[in-house]
Amino acid sequence: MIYGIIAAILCGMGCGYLWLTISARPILDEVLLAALAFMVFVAGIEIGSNRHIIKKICNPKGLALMAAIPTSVVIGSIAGGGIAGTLTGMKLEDAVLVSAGLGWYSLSSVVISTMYSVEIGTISFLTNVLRETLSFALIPLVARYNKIMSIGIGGASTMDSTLPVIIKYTDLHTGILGFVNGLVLTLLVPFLLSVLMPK
Amino acid sequence: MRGLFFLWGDRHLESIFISIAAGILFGWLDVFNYKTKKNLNRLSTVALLIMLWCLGAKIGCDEELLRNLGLLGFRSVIMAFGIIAGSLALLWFVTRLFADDIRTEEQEGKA
Repeated sequence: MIYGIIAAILCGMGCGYLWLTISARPILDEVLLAALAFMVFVAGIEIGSNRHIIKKICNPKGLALMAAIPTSVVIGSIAGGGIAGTLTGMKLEDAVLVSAGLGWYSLSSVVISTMYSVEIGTISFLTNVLRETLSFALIPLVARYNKIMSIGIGGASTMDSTLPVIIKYTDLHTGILGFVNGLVLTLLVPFLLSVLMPK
Repeated sequence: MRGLFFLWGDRHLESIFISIAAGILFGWLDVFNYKTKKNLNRLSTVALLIMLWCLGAKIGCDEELLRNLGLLGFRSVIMAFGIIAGSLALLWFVTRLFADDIRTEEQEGKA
């Protein structure tokens, strides 16, 4: 399956480069969204038909874990991205800003490009696209070692595009934690960007 | 609620929320039998591959982005790995912290 994932991305890039122009984007977005909606619908069926898992998560320890995951993903992303960015010669504040996109490339790149700098906006787009794309390949690998850790890779995308991958390679319980993690991070991104934006 | 969704509009949160809510409801009411669910799961794998193809095609058809890929790509690759490594490192501590609970849950799941 992991080879299928990588092959699909590479094949798409090749076909897009050879035969498609930028005008194909709206159509691709439509197909992308339809496929995504269907996958999330199927993931929802699995969550709904296992009520005991939902009941199991709603206890003090389960809720604490639910809060601890997004908290550590935010701190870990910003610290890891800040260190990696400064190593490549970026300013720390720029690197932290790029990391605060948390994988949500469409929002963070537009906000940073229009409000701060086009170059940092482009880096933000590429970094966060890579984060989401790498997630598809890394989640199956990390999940073999530790299920909870596989949630952290995708950032905000764990509530939609990478959620089906998490459920496939771990279990429903981890899938629900992943959905909540993605939801919390998605709500946090606009807030983080406005706080961390250099004046 | 409409206003709240509008803020995050480009992520198409509405359709995602509606789809997952409909899925949970259908699953809860046990609308589909085992065979249908299995087929839906297969279709979902196909949908995943279609989605990834489109994601790749979106990058591939954007020549400006491909040009930038070389220019700023190096920094982005290092940053993406740094971000993922940072998240994994902190989550490792979380799994240590909650190790006992995670283990009991896994055992219950197997039993």
